[in-house]
Amino acid sequence: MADSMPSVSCPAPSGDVCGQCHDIAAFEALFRTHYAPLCDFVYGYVRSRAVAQELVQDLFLRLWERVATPAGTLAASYLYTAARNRAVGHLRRERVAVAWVKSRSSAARAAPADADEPLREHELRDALERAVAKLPERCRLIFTLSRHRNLSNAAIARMLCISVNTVEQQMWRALKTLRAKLAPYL
Amino acid sequence: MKHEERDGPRIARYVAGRCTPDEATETRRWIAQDPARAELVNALVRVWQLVRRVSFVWDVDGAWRALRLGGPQPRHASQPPLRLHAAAPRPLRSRALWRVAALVLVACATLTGILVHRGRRAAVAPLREIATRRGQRATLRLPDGTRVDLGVASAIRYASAYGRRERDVYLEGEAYFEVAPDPRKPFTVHAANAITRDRGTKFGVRAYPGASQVEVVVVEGSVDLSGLVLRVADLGRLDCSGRLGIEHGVDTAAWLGWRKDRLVFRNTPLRDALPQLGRWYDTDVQLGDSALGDYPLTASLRGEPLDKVLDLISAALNVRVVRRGSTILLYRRRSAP
Repeated sequence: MADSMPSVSCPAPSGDVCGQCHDIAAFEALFRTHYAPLCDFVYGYVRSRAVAQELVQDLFLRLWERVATPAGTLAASYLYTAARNRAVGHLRRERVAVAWVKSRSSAARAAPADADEPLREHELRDALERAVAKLPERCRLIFTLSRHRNLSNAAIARMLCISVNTVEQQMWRALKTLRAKLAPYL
Repeated sequence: MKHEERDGPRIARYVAGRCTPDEATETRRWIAQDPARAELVNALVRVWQLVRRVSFVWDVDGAWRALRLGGPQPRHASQPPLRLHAAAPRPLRSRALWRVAALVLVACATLTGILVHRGRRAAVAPLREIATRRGQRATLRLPDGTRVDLGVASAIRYASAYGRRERDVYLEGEAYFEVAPDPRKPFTVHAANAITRDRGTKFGVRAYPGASQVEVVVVEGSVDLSGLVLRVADLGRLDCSGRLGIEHGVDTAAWLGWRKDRLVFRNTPLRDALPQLGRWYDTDVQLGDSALGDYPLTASLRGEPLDKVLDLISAALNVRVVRRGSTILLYRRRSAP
């Protein structure tokens, strides 16, 4: 689980790293930088806005309570790994819950279909979400940072401590895969 | 494709709009050399556009406030922070370990999951959200009687406790407010980096994601835009680096023309006007040539079909309109005007 995740440190510039998390300003900066991307990322697993928000919120809360060592540096990669673990943990619990209390959570998983929304639009959105969700994890993270958060390749590289070249290769991979998956809708 | 290793990243940069203008020009030339390349790139551009439909707006401000981190020592704070996770999970788990019964463990874990889940649900009051799609507008009344006209492709959020202690709304996009007077509870609009506090009654806010600035125009009374006081017919601007600007004597009726089905541009740079056109007509209109971005567009549109609008822009600004799949691109004309 997230609590046992080793924290990874990397020499990213300030803003991406929360070095002294008892400094509320630094913590807020960390929160504001990563909250939305983390929600995007977690949504890819749980496909529920409410659950994604709760899990990310809870992640930050634990972080705030737990990070007592001011010297400990926190890298973005830690946040995303912890978020992934939470999402996976949630899905596992949910599956058990489903088995335990029959179809208890099926209502929660149902897509919040808009009564007025034409079926075709609904279907398309569903196909889009599924296709994005099925991208390999890192590829999906990079792609959503670029597409949904409008970050430049250089900004993504800095955030995740990887090379710009890696970001670009992953972007290409994401686009290519999505094109194949979404062929019926193009 | 043969040289995928080399060309892939470049295509991706181009599709995602991450090229420099020079590189974009060169890439376009490269694409034009081979119909297969054009077909590939068109499909990828379409993918890129489609995916925007599943892009969410997350309420960062609201989430930050819901965390309620009172001060540097949250555990000893006089007001304990609002907690999402009950303290229950840990004791439950350790007791389960005591019993060493695998079945019980599973049952407890399940229960814990459900309890934690329920606990969270109850602790975080969800924000209400009203959102319009592209080409769609809405009018709503907030619990205190404040009227909100919501522009195309915009969203407004507010807490379910709105009006009890405070009157805060979160805007992404464009909206016009007629605020119900209540001197004890100021009405506040949070949009991008701007905080607009109402001191009067009627004003409009424009804050689309990706725009270079937030704009606020006052129709009646006065408002405070991140510290700058705006009065009737003032247009306040706050750019992303926090610089404030003010313009007096603007035509507020034109600025708020969208409420009366009019899409009005007054010397609006094309780079700002095209996204708005796209939101009205639910289409993608883009600059084929970034040098066109500064061209000022002046137009007052009222329900004209898109083709007619494009003709008008093409004639007025001497640009060429090219359709590429579902995207519309504007280029400079080759011949001198």
